[in-house]
Parts: sequence; structure tokens; C-alpha cells
Amino acid sequence: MTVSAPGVPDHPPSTLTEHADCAACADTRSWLLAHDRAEATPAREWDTTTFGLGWLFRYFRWGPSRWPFAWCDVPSAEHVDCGVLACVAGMVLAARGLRVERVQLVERAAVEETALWRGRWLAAGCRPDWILSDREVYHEVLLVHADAGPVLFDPTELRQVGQGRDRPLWMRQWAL
Amino acid sequence: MSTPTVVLSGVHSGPNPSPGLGLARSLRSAWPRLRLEAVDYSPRSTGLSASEFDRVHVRPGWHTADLDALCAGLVSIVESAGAVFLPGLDLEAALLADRQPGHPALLLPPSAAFDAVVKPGETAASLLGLAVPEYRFAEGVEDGADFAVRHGWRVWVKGSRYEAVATNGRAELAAAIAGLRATWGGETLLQRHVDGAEESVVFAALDGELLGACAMRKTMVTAEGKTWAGSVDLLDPPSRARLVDLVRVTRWTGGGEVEIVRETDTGIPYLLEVNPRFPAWIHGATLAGVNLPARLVAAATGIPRQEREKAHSTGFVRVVEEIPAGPHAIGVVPTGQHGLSCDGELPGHRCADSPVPAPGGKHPSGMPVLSRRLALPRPRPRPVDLDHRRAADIADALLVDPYESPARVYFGGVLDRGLDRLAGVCRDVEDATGVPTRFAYSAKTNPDPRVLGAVLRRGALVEVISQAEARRCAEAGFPGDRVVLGGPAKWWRFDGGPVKFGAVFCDSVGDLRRTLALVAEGGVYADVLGLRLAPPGVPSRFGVDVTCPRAYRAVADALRGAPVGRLGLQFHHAASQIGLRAWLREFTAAITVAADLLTRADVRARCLDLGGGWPPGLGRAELGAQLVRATRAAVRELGSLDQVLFEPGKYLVEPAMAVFTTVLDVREGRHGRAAVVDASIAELPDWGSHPHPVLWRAPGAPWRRLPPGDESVFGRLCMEHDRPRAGLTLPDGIAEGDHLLFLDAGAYDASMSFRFGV
Repeated sequence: MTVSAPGVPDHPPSTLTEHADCAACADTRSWLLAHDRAEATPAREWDTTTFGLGWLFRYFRWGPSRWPFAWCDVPSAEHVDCGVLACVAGMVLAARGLRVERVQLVERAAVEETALWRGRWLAAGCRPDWILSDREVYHEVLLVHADAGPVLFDPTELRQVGQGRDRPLWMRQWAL
Repeated sequence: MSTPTVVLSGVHSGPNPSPGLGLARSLRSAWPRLRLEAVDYSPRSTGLSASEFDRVHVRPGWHTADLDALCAGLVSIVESAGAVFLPGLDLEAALLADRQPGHPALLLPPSAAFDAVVKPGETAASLLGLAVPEYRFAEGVEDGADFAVRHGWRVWVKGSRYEAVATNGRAELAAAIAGLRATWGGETLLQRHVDGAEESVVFAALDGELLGACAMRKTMVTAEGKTWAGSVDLLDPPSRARLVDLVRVTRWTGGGEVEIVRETDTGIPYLLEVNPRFPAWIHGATLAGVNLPARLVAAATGIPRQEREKAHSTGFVRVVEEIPAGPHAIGVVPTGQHGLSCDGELPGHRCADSPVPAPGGKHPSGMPVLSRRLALPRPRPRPVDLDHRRAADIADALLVDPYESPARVYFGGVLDRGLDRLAGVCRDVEDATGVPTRFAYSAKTNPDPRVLGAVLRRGALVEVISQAEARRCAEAGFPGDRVVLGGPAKWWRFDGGPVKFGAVFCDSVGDLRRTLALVAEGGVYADVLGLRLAPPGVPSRFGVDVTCPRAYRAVADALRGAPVGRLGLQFHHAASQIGLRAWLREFTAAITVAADLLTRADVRARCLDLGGGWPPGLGRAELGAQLVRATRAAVRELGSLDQVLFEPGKYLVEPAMAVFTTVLDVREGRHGRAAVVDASIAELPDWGSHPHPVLWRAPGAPWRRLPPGDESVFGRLCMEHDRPRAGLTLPDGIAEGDHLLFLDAGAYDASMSFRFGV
């Protein structure tokens, strides 16, 4: 697959900073794992659509994040971007015993969408460098090795991606 | 050769449509020149004006006709046209199956098939490999409420033939039972609500052979829960095999629909109902390439298909459409001229001569009338004799006769038995979990000195929510270490102490900090100091939601290094409001996160308080089992515990008092009789939360319990809402001077009663 401009990303997937000796960072990770255990249901075992992660969106909405972003920033964040969500979801799913890999994508987008997103990111004082062109955007998702097979899972939209018209323009895997 | 003809019934197309119009569109897409005739039972059936039909028949309403003659007339229409008939109305189909069994032109299931799918559909569910949600048939709101409270009031009330109403509280439940019984006749079915995604399977069969089926997932529904959009898919092979079994065993002919809900938490598929006809969304399946009505008609008649099945999409959506209609259909001509009413039900409604538009009519095909006609006549219920124990309790309490009226009556024996039961529950929990267990009576529920004295003598604790309540309990003889203090206003009018409590549970992070400060200053001593946890998934103004990341951090910070000797956790949310299942789910979620939080703060919980709000109707085994499940979950998350507490209030005292009243008047009303008594909602202020059983006694006669029905007891006040009890059948001989006894008035009916209108 090829991307016309300005080219495929050469950086690794996003990572959240963990401050040394920071109780708040450790509390946040602990809260996420405990909350995920509290939400466990039998039906979650075979839910390869959302992986039972809908509870995350009680606290956050997708939107601009100011990087670098630390674990202790999570509790006070109202909006988080796909990089934060991929980090959080990846940690939670790995704690469940699932093998998870980080995946970078370049996806198609409509001109109207990229214009809207660029404006929103700039208004929040964040760099919209993930918008690669008027029609191409950078995105982070997960490859989850579920019992039924590997699933390309988008924690930002709580759905599987990569099928049909969702096929990304470019994709790269990173083992966690 | 005559033109092939199909007669369709049930063609109303409103917010709750019948399938006739969808069937017509599907058949028309298979055979563009097929002759289609519509049958319905009121000109207000909107689909009669649709251009799909070559001829329409408006049959006499069900209230005017002889049922056998009506069936014969319908068969005559079908036979004279050389047609086949596809029913769109469940009851009409059931009636025809019974009165015209085996008629080859009537494409409907045999009577035995109707028996197999009758609600709650256990036979069909067994064949289909589906579960059936817990259910109960209810005559009235008393037994209905007993079932609903176990399921957090989230139940469906289903009519004997049609219609289901979702309820979420006592008032809604009473209204639904009364409304459905009045509309459809017969008894009502109550069924637990199952949270999950709804699915349908539609199928066609002929003489027990499956002709085709497909699945549909609802993607949009109306406020009534009716399909507004859906996605259509193939039926998976295991489901198809089970459907083949159902069709074969019942020798099904015609269309059918299986409605399923797949529970979100467990993934278990539950049967909602099986409809003995095609659903109203049937044309959605046709648009997705599965034309089941055409397959059925082709198989039944041998008419060769002119158009092949074609998938236009994988889903469908409904739209609203205006079509031309004549004066009879739009209400310009009074339907009374034809012996029909506006809504196809009861004559006398205002129509064309009214200055306001005629009502559209919820049931223009008249199914409620037919349902009431088919319901078995039921004798008027009579008052019921009391069991010996209840009679003895009342005899002990009402020693003086005639009694001052109205008056509150205290049943000491009932309270003693309640205390015995609670002591038994404590033993059961302790035996099952190894954790010492005690109960703390919630004093606010009824602080009557007789109640507090009885609790004290049993060695139990008491739970209070203010300093004034704490002093009152101290005056009653409770030492400080047998008092549990909770609530949001516990330090209101606090004199600075020092004061001692057995346990103090804080209601917010601020309350926790304040209480820790009081403990540090020496003004308060508590054996256990703890935090009340809020239910994470249910709205509540009380406690701390530790599943919220900010609250989690704040509590962790407050507890780190705090001078807490024995830490406690309290979870107090009324299971009588949310149901036992939801209570356990909320408790487990809260305690799971709290346990992790305590680990982070490097403290351990020693005491667990499981709160109050337990449904008064729970037996020892049920309450004990719930507390055991919760304690085990807590021990699993928190490690070993020193003590488990729980706080019964209504559970203990609600049945321990009654209100004695005298009948002042018996009056006839539009909706039946009502007795006016000398009590009111001032003596029964909690009348809205639970239906009080009512006993009746004529002079010199024994007390007897009034059965369910449609009559009421009014209070003495000049206020419209002073109706302490509805849904009863008053006895034939009830008269002025008789007495009524409102039971279960020992909780907030006692503590919140007020002087008014005296």
C-alpha cells in the first residue's frame, strides 16, 4: 500500500509517560485494571467487537491530547486521542491475558472531516500532525489475538477495522 | 383461468402496525398481477386505503357478531374468490384454527401450535433451545409487586393475548396490570426484563415443513419497542435446525416470528414470544432477498413465481407515508352509521360530529374486544379467610372492640418472629462464610420505643443517621458501641463530644476528611471507621463512586497514613429498588475497585456493612443466600473480614403494624364501587411504595382478606390523590360501620405519618 503525501510515519506508536515514584501514575494504572475487572461479564469472553471496553467512554471522549501525556494525566482528561486510547486499552487487554500488538495505520478521510479535525486540534492548542493530508490521517489501533483468531481492533471506535472499505492505506505492527 | 387471489387480514398501518400491508407488498413483488383482497374489522384500519389492494372487505366488529358466523363469513370470502388466506391478526388466526380446523385455504397454524407458543412459551423455548425469563401470572398488584420487587421493578406486564408494557415502579406496575386486564381480559403475565439486544427470526412453513427463514436484528425501535429499522441476515445452521424441529413438531402452516433477546451480561438467548403470523416488518426480509410470503403462497397454491427473489439491501428502514383516503377512513362519516365505533372497540366515541379530530384508534382491528369475548368468564372473587397465625396476631393486638378508629395497631408477635428470622440469617451467613455477622436495625424506619426495646433485648445493633437519633437510641438503652452512624448529615448539631460509636461510615470524601479530623481531635471514638461506596452503575446521591478515577485518587490520598484502627466499607443501596441481581452486580463492581484502592493505600478493610433496603417479602433463605454471595465476593477481593453487618429497616417492621379503619360510605362510581374510610394518606403516607393488603370485617364477623379486582378504598380527605388502595374487589355485603385493616403499615407509614384533616 502507498500513501501519496507526506509519506508514511517513521515514528513508533505513542507511549504514555510513567513518572518515577509518582503515586498518581501508579494509582491510575491500578484504577484502570481494577475497573476492568469490575466490569467483567461472561459475555465479554466472546465479544470481539468491543472487547467489553465500553466503560472507558464513561470517563473520556475522543479528542485532542497534549503530548507528552502521562498516566497521571488520565484521570483529569476529558478528551483523549487514539494514541492514549490505544495505550490504555492495550494495557487492559494484556492484563486480561490476551496477546496484543500495537498497530499504526494510515486511513482515508473526507476533506470535510480533516478540515473539522484540524480546526478542533488547533483550537485546543494541539498539533494536528496526525492529519497527513486533506484525505489521509494517521491512526493507532490494536491487533488482539483472541481465541477466535487475530482481530484488528480500534479502541477509539470500539469496533473491528480493516474490512472492506475500512481497509487502511498503510499498516505497521509493533509487539507490545 | 381466474386470476390467482390472496386474501390478507390485519392491514392497519399505524405506530403499532399489523403485517397485512407488508404481506401485500411482498406478494406483489413476486406476482405483479396477483389479485389482493384486504379484510379488516373497522374502516379506521388505515391500510384499507392502500393502492396495493384490489378489493377491501370491512367486516362487522367483533362486539356485534356471532363468532362462528364471522368465521364462516370470512371463509366464504376466501372460497368465493378461489383464494388462499394469510392472517395478520393473532386472535383471528387462533379463532379460525379452532372453528375451521384444517381448511386448506387458510394458511395458519393448527390449534395445537397455538398451545405450544402460548405465553410464556416454555414449550416453544424448549424446542428452540432458548431460556425463558423468570415470570409469574398475577391477578393483582399485590402478588405482582412481590415478583417485581425481586427484579428491581424492571418487569414486563404482558396481556393475556397481546401487548406488553415495561414498568419500572409500583405505580406503573399497578396501572399496567389494571390497564391490560381491562383491555384484554384474563390474567396478566409478569416477566423479568432482560437487558440485551433484541433479535427476531421470521419463518414460513407448510404442513410442518420449513419453507424458509431469516434473522433480523433491530437497529431502531419506536418508543413502544416496535421495529423501525433492522438488519437482515441468514439464520445460523444450529438455530435453523431447532426451528425445523419446532415447525415439524407443531405441524406449523403459515408465517411465524420468534422474538429473542440476548442478555448483555451473560450472552444467554431468551425467548420473548412466538407470534403465530408474519411480523409487520416482513417486507424488510423480502427487500433483503427472502420473500417468505411468496414462498408460502407458491407452495400452498402451486402458482409459478413471476419474479425471482432479489436482495436490494441487507437492511431496511420504515418511513411514514401519506396516501389518499375516503371519508370513512379519515373519520368524516360517523362510523356509528355502520354499527362500528371509531376505534373498532366500543361504540359511542366522538367522530365526525366532534369539533376535535377523532382518535386514530390503537386497535382498529378490534382485537381487545375479541380477546375479552374469548376470555373465560371468571366468578367475582370473594374475601379470603386468614391463616390461623395471622388471625391470632390480630386477635392479640385488637383486644378492645370497638376500637378507636382510625388507629395504628402493633403486632408484637410479628416483630418477634422478624427478629427471630434476622437472627437466623446472621447464623446462616456466619456458618457459610465464617465471618461473624450482626444486624443493625435502621432506627429511622420506625423509632417506636416498643420496636427499639425489642431490638435491644435481642442484643442487636441500631443504625442512626443523626446525633438526635443517636441520643434517642442511647435513651432507649443502646450503648455507644452498638450504634452505627451513617448518612450525609451525621455531624449536624454535633456538640463536639466526646462520643463513641460502634461504627461510623462516611458518605463523601469531604465527610471522610472531617470525620478523620474529629477522630484525631479526640471528639469521636469509633470501633470501625469506614466509607460508604456508591453503586457504580445506578444513579445514587449517596456514597463515593470509587470507579470514578478522580474519586479513586482522592480516597487513596485521604486514607494513606490516616489514623484508622479498623477500616470498614459500607454498600447501602436498596435491593427493593434495583432487584437482587442488580444489587449483587453493583456491589461486586464497587467492592472490586475498592479492594484495589485499599491495596494502593496500604490499608485493610476489617468490617463490611451490606446496608438495608431488603425487600420485606424475602424469606430467611433468600436473604441469607444474598448476603452469603456478597460476603464471599468481598472476602475474595478484600481478604478475611472481622465482621459483616447489615441494616434491615422495612424488612423488620413493615409487617409489624397495621392501620385500623372504619367504613364511612360505600359508593358506586363509573369504574365500580369504592369504600370511603376514616383513615387517609396521612396515616398511610407510604401508600405509593407498596400495596397494603386490606382485611375486612363486618360487625361480629371474622377478618377476611380482600382479593384483587378493580375497586378502591378512598381516604377521608378532600384530596383527589387520597386513595390509599386500588385494585381490590370489595365484598358484596360491605357497608358503613364495617372495619378495614391496612396491613404492612409498620415502616415509613408509621414514622412519616402526620396529622391532617382531623
